[in-house]
Amino acid sequence: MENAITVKNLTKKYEGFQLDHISFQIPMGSIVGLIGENGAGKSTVIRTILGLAPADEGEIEILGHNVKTGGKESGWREQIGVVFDECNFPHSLKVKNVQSMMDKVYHTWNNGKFAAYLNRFELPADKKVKDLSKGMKMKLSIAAALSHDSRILILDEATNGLDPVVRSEILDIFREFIEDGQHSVFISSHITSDIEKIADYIMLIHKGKLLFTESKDELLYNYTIVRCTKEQAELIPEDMIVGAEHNTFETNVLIKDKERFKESKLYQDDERGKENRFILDRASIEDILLYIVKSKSN
Amino acid sequence: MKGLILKDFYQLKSFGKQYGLIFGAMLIYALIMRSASFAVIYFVLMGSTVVLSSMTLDESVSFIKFALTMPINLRTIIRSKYLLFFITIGIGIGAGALIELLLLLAPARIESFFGREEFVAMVTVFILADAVSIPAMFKLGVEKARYINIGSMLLVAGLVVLSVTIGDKVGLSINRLEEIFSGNEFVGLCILISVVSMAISYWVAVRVTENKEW
Repeated sequence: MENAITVKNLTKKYEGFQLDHISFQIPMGSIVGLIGENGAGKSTVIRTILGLAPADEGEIEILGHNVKTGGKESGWREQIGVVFDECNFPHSLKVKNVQSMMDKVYHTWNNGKFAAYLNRFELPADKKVKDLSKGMKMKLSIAAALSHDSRILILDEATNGLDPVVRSEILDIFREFIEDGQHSVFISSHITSDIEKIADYIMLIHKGKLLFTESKDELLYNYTIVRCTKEQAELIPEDMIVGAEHNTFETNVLIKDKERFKESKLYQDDERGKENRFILDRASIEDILLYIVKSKSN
Repeated sequence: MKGLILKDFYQLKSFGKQYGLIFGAMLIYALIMRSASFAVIYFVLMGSTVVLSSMTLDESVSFIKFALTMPINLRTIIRSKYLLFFITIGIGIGAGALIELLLLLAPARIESFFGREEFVAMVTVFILADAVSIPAMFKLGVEKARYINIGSMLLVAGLVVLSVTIGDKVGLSINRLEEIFSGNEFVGLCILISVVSMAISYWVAVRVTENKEW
């Protein structure tokens, strides 16, 4: 499968923070979600792969183009659409001014496509950007990102602060975008429910380190939360435990390999005994993020 | 480049009414004061600082960071700001000249301080100030660049005062200095200083932003 983005050993050092030898691929035709807590390094990853911050080490390829900061060649950017967490169009511009400007910037700009998105999003062409609501501003940014020959959509916290209806509408558009297998979406967010809804692959970053890149389906299938007593939790082999949370009434343990746990003698005996049963619950992406981050912090 | 300039003009257009009002107010002020000097200085100054205002608006929405994700490189963005500067200072000079022309038609006699040399010298001072502040604007942000702009103009003014004071002490009267700093050679020198300072300014702007993070 062709990769839309390939990153090898990406390292970026700041005082008190380091993006530490990150490697990953974004396959064409997929949506990849980058999750992590605030300050984990999500935006640094995106800024570095876009060439907005020079990498200290590593290689970045977008659609086969080797990204170098300050490079004169910028034609490859025709094929990427970027949306940040705020609308970056000057606020005094009208929506129709954005269209005229972008028409001069992109060779592949498609006025018809943009007009169709404006129509779909009910964005008035005569309104100034500053008079649009946050959701409408974000829709305008997305409409602009999709109205040229973009094959990759890169979004940095783009759904933050939007209401569920707008978020759902936008997520539908991302799904449509990758339908033909020739487009990809790379989205970073700390709203894990959005990522859980649309992503094919999930990357978890914590304190500048990429902890995993896994298929969402496998992740949701393999991870499980075991609810039990503290005493029972102590019997679970350590190599199965990703993280645990204790409270007065119960202990919740995040297990990485659900099938292995279910086949273990511990669980089988418990099933037979029917007392103090281990209760297995579905682990959401948010649960996985929280347990992992907590266990790494302790 | 076209797209960037177009965006800057859309931004300026939104201030159209304010600019119109300022033009009218300056015209009235010049008529009341019977002097066009302040209005002329004001328009050239305004034209020279539009680039800073445009950058302020860009900065407020992180536009440069966004533009760098488009098929535009940093040099094009820098060039577009220099081009904007030349266009707007040109408009400022034009507006100043228009005020002078309109006042010539006024029934009352209106004085103007500006001869050719004074006018060219004033424009050169503004160009020098921007030559220093535009690279600073890219490197340090608009807020600091504004201070640098004001500081540069004060520095030039200080140098003029200093040279007049020193001239006075060594027996060169202000009239003599005026004689020295006049004629086609002086105008040519001012144009040369403007062109060279802008060329150096562009080179510095490119260099100081080479490893800047956006």
